[in-house]
Amino acid sequence: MIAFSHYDIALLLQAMARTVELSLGGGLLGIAGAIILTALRLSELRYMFPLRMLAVLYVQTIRRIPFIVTLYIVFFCAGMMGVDVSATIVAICSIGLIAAAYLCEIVHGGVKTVPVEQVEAALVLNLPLWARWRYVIGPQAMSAIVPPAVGYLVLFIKDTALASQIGVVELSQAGVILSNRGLPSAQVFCAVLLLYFAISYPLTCLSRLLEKRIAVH
Amino acid sequence: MPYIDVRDVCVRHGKNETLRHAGFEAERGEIVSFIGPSGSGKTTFLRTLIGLQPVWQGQMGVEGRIVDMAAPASARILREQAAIVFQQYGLFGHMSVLRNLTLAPTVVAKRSRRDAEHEARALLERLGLANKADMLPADLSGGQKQRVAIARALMLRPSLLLLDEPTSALDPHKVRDVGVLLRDLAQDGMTIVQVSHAMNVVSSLSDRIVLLEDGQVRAVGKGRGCAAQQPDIAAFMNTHGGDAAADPAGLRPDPEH
Repeated sequence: MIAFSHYDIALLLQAMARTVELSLGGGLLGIAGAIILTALRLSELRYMFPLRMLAVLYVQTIRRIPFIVTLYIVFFCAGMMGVDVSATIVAICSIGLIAAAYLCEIVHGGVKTVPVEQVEAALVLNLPLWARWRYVIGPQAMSAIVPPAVGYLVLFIKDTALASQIGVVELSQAGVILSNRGLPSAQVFCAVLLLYFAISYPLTCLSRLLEKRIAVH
Repeated sequence: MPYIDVRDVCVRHGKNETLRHAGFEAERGEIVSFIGPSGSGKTTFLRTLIGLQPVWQGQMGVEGRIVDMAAPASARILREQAAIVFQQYGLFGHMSVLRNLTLAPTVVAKRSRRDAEHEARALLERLGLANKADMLPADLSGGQKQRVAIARALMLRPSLLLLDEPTSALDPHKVRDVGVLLRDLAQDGMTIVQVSHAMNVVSSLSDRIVLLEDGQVRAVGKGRGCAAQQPDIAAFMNTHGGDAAADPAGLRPDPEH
């Protein structure tokens, strides 16, 4: 069995950090985007109609395009517009754009699970908008949002591997590099597998913790 | 001048008029029932009274204070004077009974939590729910949920209490309990408006009956026993599973009383 050199291990860990960066950055952008998109979709004001339609169009379009296509679109658009940013930033933005669309469906669906009588009850109790969300809609929607959202984010960590297509050295790409250097591929990719697991498993644990806390509330 | 005076309420959905110049009056402490066939606009009418249903035009006077119901700002004013108990109660499922009651007083009226909880517990005790304060709505029976919903509405100290089908989801023997409760509240000076399909409840409880048909007020009966006296109302009730003269729940007080 050939042991990994310090350099190999450093490369793997750096690549792992990159994967975490992509997942975390993309995930946070996605959550922020999903909240904005959901707010647009739920707004009832008449003059918001065009924005509302735009939000629905965005969600429906992005969800129908393969991840890699969105990635290329953002990559080449950034290039065309002369925006000089690293491939990592481009990848984080694309991941954020995609995650926003998927998470929006989850958040929107979660909000819709709150019974309409409760929303009306909050309204006739004269609770202001912030209080309706803070006390009535938010906590109940969360219990319907957190499990599928975390499930989605876990799936989506492995999709960050596609960022290698625009030259980002993330975990799976590091595996390819090491195996091309002549290290035994099976061992290299087993190590990659373990590292992916190490990234996503804590997220699952966090989700369980959150679900418990929400249930107690 | 009547205590509550609602006039000329029109609701339109496109070209459809679901409510046409509807109105009614009520004195303080009266129980008013809206009756009528399905789709006649009863629930719509009830919802306009608390700003849940946008109206084309209409005005509501409470104690001489006139509110233009079509004005955008009217919802807040209507909700300050009225409270509603929904058919499905609309209790907040993730909050204890006590918190359901104290949420609006503490958040909207900025009362101290201690003060609000004190009042809430007293109210729960009055409604026979003293030991349910810390339970979640899901752990209560239908009748208990309804009383919690009524208690939550009463915490707002409304001049007008609205109830949408208060007896439809209850066992027959619970119907009488609600009737007694509403009668008690009315005797304390609360004005109550209910929508009901249960003709027995309507005939035994109502001080005033408003018959709606096709979005219009077809007939109004006034005074106890009005169900039998007003011919249109009596005819409607007799064909909709109730005897206009009946008082099976024994709720109608003696006229001399």
